[in-house]
Amino acid sequence: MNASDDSRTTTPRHHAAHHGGRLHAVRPSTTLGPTPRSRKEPPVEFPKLTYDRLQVGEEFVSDTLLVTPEVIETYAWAVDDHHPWFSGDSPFGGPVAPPTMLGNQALHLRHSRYTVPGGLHAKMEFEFVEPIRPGMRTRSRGRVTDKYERRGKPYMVTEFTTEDERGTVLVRGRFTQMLFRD
Amino acid sequence: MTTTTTTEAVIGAALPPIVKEIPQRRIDAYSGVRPNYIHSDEAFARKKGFAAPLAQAMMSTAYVSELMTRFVGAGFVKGGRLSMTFIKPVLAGDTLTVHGVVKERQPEGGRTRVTVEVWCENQHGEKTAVGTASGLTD
Repeated sequence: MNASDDSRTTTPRHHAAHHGGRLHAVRPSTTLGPTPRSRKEPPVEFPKLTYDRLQVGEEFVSDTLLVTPEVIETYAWAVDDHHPWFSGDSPFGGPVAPPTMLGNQALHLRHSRYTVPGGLHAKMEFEFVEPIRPGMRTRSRGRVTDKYERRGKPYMVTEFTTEDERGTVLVRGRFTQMLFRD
Repeated sequence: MTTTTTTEAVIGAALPPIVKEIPQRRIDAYSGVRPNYIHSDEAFARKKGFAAPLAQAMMSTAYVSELMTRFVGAGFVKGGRLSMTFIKPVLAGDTLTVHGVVKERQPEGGRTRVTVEVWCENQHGEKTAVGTASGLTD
């Protein structure tokens, strides 16, 4: 990936400056609500994700993830970060997960509807609102806020929030992905 | 775990760097394994023009998160921000060094938000990711 060819990547942006501290584009929720695919919805057909098919404003919802100690342990091992707060007491009372741990739940949102031919991650922004704790059931929601082509490569921008089972926002952010054409 | 107070976060101060070796197994644990996947399928990665499978760019955000959690502690886990641009692929087998330099301090809600310029460098001294991260200190 050479994201340096994207001129919009050069200036870090904080959400507070652009969104009053909250990413407004993502639909808030008070509870986890029904599963994303209710009985009234047709089965997901998973068409191939293409730049033309992707719509700005399109929304995605992930499945829920139960944050278990094993999920935290696996992630901590993958990134070789064994901070004592991840398995023992922390200033928040009990263990917490690495703040970035749920990033892939958000990043993979488009896979809930499409077969994705792959791509490269160009930019990532996180805001860590509340600690992620074992026992939480988390879900991410996202909305495509932009798509554009730069130097012949297609990009999509998604804003997301990740919440626990009570609708408390844990993490919010925005990411830019380049799409492989095939 | 020792964390930072406002007086320690002097502008221009360099954080202790973190070194990360990234073997394929850790990429597999992070991203999962499946065919036609640039993070685990070597043939697919080569077809896309890379010498080896790629570490997921998000792994670099985790490394910066570790750097910042060591630096500001709880004020990063709750109240932290991170913004990164991925400018060069990280390949399986690479070693990254994660750097940070204190860039700014701003009052926020009775505390101080410390912003750090962060970047990752591979074993060839090439920057692979750049950005900023911030957290709240007392």
